[in-house]
This record gives sequence, structure tokens and C-alpha cells, in this order.
Amino acid sequence: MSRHDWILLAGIVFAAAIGFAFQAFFGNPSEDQMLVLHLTAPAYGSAEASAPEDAGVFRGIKVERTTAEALEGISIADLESGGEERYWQIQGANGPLTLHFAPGQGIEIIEAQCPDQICVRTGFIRKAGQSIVCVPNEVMVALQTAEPTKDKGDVDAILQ
Amino acid sequence: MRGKKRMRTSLVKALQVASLLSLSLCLLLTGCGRESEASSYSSTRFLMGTVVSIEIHTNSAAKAVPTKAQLQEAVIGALHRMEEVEAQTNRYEATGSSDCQRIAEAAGTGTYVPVREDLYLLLDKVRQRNHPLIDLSLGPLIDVWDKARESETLPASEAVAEALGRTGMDKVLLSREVPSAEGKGTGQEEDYAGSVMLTQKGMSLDFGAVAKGYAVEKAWDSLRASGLPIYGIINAGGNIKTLGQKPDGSPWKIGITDPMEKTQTMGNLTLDPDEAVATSGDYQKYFEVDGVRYHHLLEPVTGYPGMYNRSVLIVASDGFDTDYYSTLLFLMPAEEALALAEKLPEIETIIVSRENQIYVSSGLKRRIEWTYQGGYSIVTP
Amino acid sequence: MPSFNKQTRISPRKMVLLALMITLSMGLHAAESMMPLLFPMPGIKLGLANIVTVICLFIFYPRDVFIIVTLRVILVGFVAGSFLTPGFWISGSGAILSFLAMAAACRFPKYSAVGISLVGAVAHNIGQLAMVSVLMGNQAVFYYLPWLLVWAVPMGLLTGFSAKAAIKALRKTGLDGTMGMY
Repeated sequence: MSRHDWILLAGIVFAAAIGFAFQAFFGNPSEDQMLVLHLTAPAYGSAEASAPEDAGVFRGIKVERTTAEALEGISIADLESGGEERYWQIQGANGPLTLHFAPGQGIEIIEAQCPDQICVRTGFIRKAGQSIVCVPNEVMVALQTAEPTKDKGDVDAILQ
Repeated sequence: MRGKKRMRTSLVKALQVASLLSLSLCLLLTGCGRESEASSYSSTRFLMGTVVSIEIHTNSAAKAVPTKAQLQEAVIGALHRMEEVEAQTNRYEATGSSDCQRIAEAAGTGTYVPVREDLYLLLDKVRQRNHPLIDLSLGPLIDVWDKARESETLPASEAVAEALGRTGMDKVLLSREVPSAEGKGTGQEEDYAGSVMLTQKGMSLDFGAVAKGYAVEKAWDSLRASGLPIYGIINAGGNIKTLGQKPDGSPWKIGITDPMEKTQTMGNLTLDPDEAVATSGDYQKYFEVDGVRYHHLLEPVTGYPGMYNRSVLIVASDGFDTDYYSTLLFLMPAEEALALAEKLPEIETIIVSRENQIYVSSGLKRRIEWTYQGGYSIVTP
Repeated sequence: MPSFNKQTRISPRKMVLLALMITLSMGLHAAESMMPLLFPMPGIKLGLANIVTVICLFIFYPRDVFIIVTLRVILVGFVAGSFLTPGFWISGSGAILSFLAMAAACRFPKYSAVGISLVGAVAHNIGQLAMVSVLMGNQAVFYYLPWLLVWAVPMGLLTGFSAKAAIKALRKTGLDGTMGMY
């Protein structure tokens, strides 16, 4: 390595250090952080199942734990395009559930084969830590950040 | 000649540096992964008609750090314990083979049905407390209201009255004896802790008022019995219990759902280590007719949903108590409920009445931090 | 030989070398997609294939290197089935930006292969991050930039030293230097 290489290396480290210092000073942009959409449905087997490689991203929302069956009718490129209002179906234990993504409003379940429609009544979720649950269908739609343990804010659990 | 040799040594050096760097990179990658894996484990299941999640973390100060497999075993074991409770008390099991369903099938035939420990204990506990507002024989009435919720129409008052005629704890007989003819040769006879008989045809038991809290308590026992140096939280929707203390010594913080805006919380409550909390709320399962919420918390005397409160939260050390008293206090007028809570040393409560007034028992006043925007007023007696 | 022929005809030797380099970079590119995610963002890669880009910058014209890089990205897209997916655009923008930065850095003879690789690694990460940001319509991902800068150092050193060793080995075979003059 030449002297110039060393200077370059030092420059990169210095730039990173400035970046970290900047972040430490101005804090974490948690409001704007990327969200992960966590889908749990019977088709995915146990809750311990790991996310597949081809998890997609759309408008700051990553869809995880999806299978080909769950995302039937929408490609990852569809999710990618973001910004657009979208509907898609996932398979629950009782039948299909229709999910609706509306820009600026969030995600909701608009149709489900279940007796009391609790999931439909939940309405939109849009913040990390929120979730929609349909117990009869064994489906859970949850929004998380990359660090789900911090989503609950300073709270350890939510009592429903 | 010399130049070539130097070139060669520097080539060897470069290769050495490159391989060292890549090696350290690999170590760094695997190292990071392992560390984050071993320190905690969580699992979520659909159980007992709700989402149950158990989350445990390793106490880093512990001498023997548990492996991931041990953590997993502890969590799965606790969930399995809850499954056992569900297998006995579930009224909706598809196979129809739960203890609870077998009891209902034999109702009115005059035969005692052998039952396992958990179901027996639950019935026995509730009978001993003997409060008219907690009735585990509300099965027929709950069926009527389940149908009403599905069709979103009020049930006919005759239907409610008829179902109410098939309820009553006095018609539930409990015996420590297991009928000898039953379970012989099935290998199950040792599991039976007693037997139950319903004296009237068409009766059925429903453990909804207490089963979840009891199951959370049993899951907690199971985690404790693992002997691992862990702390964590068991969350079964409306029932929570903490396990041990967080490493930084801070109390557990629980967000309380706002009954009017169920995706929001109305405040944060602190919990001590190994403390349980439960809520009964009209927002958990309901349908609306003319702006009135008809929910799942039924009043055993009238046969209609309790109309005094929106939600009742109970803090106690025992999970069963939190579930039992949250249902009981929910069905009482707020002032009376608060007075009862103040009389009982083992429980603390927060009551949100239908008039949007909040009643807090004396032991919780300093443990709650309100975050709601408006719509409620706190009553200080 | 007329001069225009010199521009358009590629000698078989160069063609074989170009193909070899594309294959090599595809292999590295594919290998790193099997590695675990370093960042909580799908598509962000380490940039192992930059080793080949650095080597090529020393033995080919930048124009040829550009072809190698572009073909590599497109071919891996086909092979991995990620063509025109977000992962494709992310790795593509990283690869192209790092090529541009390294080609520019090559003009300063004071930098060795290691220095050029460092520049490439930094540009690679910035390029990827920029594409993630565009795809998600979200600038918050630049929060990870300092982390990616830190990661660029070991990656730049790794690719730099690997490339240096490879260039030296090539030099002995006589395949270097004059190669760009074909």
C-alpha cells in the first residue's frame, strides 16, 4: 500500500466517524425508518419458519415470511412499485383474506372468512409495533422495524 | 534476481494479508450471528382463541449461559403447557374430544365424566370462591351470543331466557373420585384428577372467564421450572405475566389498550418481576346494534352483556386471579368494583366505566402513566 | 492494417480473456449472494466481484471494463432469475458506480490497486444505498451510510490485495500491460 492509499483509508474512516458523530448528535430518524410487514399465516407452517430469501420491498415496507401461495396474484415487482393502492389475498385457515394497502393510510384486512370480523374491524395499521390478528384464520399481519424489540417504544408488551 | 525475489515475498505477503482479512471477516460474520441468537428466544402461537407469545432473554450476568436449544425448549415447553390447558377446557375443538366437550355430551345422563387436573382445579377454585357473577356453566348462553355476533342481530329474549335455564353452578357436580369403568386400559386413567357431572341436558361448561389467566400462570411455572437464568414475558393478548427482572433493574412496562381506540394505548403501567395483569374489555369481542356494544362478557343473572364498564384491568401475582377478578369486576358497577378491589389485598385495578370515567385502586396510582389524548376523566374517590 | 479495423476487431486472445473475466466476476457475484445479509436491507452486497473490475482496469481499456461490468450484472440477473427485480437494480447501480469511481481513480497513478479498490468499495456501497433509497422512496436508509463506509474499508482491502496478487501473477505470464493495446 502506498502512502496515498493510507491517506485514502484514513479519509474513509474519518468520513464514517463524522457520519456516526452526526447521527449521535441528531439522533435516529425512527419516524422514517423502514418498516417490515410480517405476515403469519397457516400456509407458512410454524411461527419459527424463517423468512425466504426473496422478501420484497415496497415503499418502505418489506414483506416477509411469504410463500408463493401467500402472494399469489402479486409479484414482488408489484409491491416494489409502491405508492399505488393495492389489494391482495392470503390464504387463512378458514379461507382467503383480502389485504388492502392504501398509500398514507396503511394496511388493513377488508375481507375475511371469520365469524366475528375482529380483524376487519381493526382497521388500518401504519406504525411499527401495530398488528392485525385474525384468530380463526390463524393470520397475523404485523408492522415492525428492522429491530422489532424497539418497536414497542419504551413498552415491553401491549395488554389487549 | 533480487528484485524478483522481493516481488515474490511481497506477493506472499499480500496473499497472507488478504487471507487473514477474509478469515477475520468470516469470523466476524459468524460471531455476530451466534451472539444475537443465543441471548433470546421468542415464539408466537395461536392458542386459546388468541395470539400467545412468549419471549425470554438470557441474563447476561449468569454464570452458565443457556444455549439456544435450551431457550427454545423452555419456550416450547411453556407453550405446550398452555396447549394442555386448552385441550381440556376448549369448547370449540373440531374433534369434539376435549374434556369440556365430553362433559357437555354426557350432560343430563347422570354419569360422572373423568377429567384431568387443570379442568378440575379451575372448576374447584371457582366453586370455592362461589361468586354469583362468575359462572363456568354459561356454555348455552355463550352459544346464543356467539350466533348473535355472527349475524350482528340481537338474540330473541326467549332464546336468552331458555339458554339461561340451562346454566347454574349448582347443577355442576364435582367429585374427587374417578369412575372406575372409565379410562381403563386407555393408559389415561392416571391423568384423571376427578370427575364432573352436569345434571341437566343441554348444559355445557365454558372456561373463557378464567382459562387464559390460569394457562399463563402454568406457562410461567413451566418457564420457572426450567431453572434457566432467564427473564421474559408471557403475552396472551389480554393476559400478561412477567418472568424475573430486566437486567437494568427497571420495571416492566405494559401498554394498556384504549377501549375506544383499540389500536392505540391509553397509558403505560409498570409491573414488578413475576407479576400478572389481565383486562376484560367490551372491545375484545363484540357487535354493535344502534351504537351499543354487545360484547362477550355475559352477566350470569340477566343473560346479557355487562353494561357498567368498558374495561377492567387487574394486577395480581397470580394469573388466575387477574383473569377471574377482571371478569368479576367488569360485571359490577364501577364504584362497587373499586371498593371490592380495595378490600382485597391481592389485587389492584383500573376500571374504565361506560361513562368514560377511570377508577384506579390506591396501589396503582403511582404505577400508571396516562397517555390518552382526551375523552376520559379520572375519578379520585 | 487499416486503422479502423484496429478499433472494431477483437483478437481471439482478448475475447477469451474478456469472457474469462466476465465468468470470474459472475462467479464472485453469485458467491456473495449466498452470504448472509449484513444489513437489514435486502439486496445490499459486499462487492466481491469488484476484484475482477480492479484487475481488468489494470489490463484493459476502461471501455472494455465497462462492458465486462455491465454484462456481468445482466448475466447474473438472468442466471439468478433476478433480472429487472430490485436486487438487480441495486447490485447494478453499485457495480456501475464503483466502476466509474475506480476508472476515475486509475487516472491518478499515485493510488495502487488497494487504493483504487477502497474507492470502488465506497462507491459500490453508495451506489447500492442510493438505489435502495430510490426504490423505496425513502431517504432514511442513508442512516446506514456510515456503517457501509466502515464496511467498505475491509472490503476494499480484501479486493485490493486480491487484485494486486492477481495482477502480479498475470504480469509474470506476460498477459498484462500490453493487453490493453490490442
